[in-house]
Amino acid sequence: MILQSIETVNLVMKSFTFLLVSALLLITILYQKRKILKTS
Amino acid sequence: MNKFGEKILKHEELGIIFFPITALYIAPLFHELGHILMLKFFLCPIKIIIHFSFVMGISGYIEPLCELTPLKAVLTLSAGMFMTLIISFILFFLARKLERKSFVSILVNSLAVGFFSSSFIDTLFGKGDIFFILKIIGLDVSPYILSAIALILITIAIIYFWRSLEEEIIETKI
Repeated sequence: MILQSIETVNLVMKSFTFLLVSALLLITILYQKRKILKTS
Repeated sequence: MNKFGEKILKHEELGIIFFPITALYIAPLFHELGHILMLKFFLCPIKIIIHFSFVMGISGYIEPLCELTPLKAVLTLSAGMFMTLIISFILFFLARKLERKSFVSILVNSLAVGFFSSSFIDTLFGKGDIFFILKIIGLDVSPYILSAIALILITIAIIYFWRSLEEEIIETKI
């Protein structure tokens, strides 16, 4: 049989990567926003 | 609108939260739906098990209860990735059409980048449907090359997302 089953991999690394990227995006945006508000 | 709603809409950057939510819980459902629809199209009976984990998100197990030709197997395996990719392109397009500097626009962009990166995240870690597809086709591609391609694609999507965030949040505040 060519295709016995289709299984999605369950990796903690996957969730960790997504959470890390979102946290970094959020932190940098908040930091830049604060910097702009301070200077204006 | 109540005060809480107004406060949320003032903090557009909170739309970013929808990126991991989409990538972990929403996109995998559509990925599995892609496989299921393709198998249904081939009139193949299936056995489906969907697992939910708060930490690891949603994952699925699909067993086709029929014999598939190599072409049908390749189409079934690639349907999951194409399903999330098509949705992501529609959402990226929609986000561009929406009014700038709005919470909704950032939310739609977050959903788009969530769907897009979810399509390649398994490949990034050296797993996923693409490896089975290559095995069926008989192509021998190094997993490192595939991981590198996935990394480049995800990085491009995140940079695009970052640029649109910058345009919508920072540049409008100046």
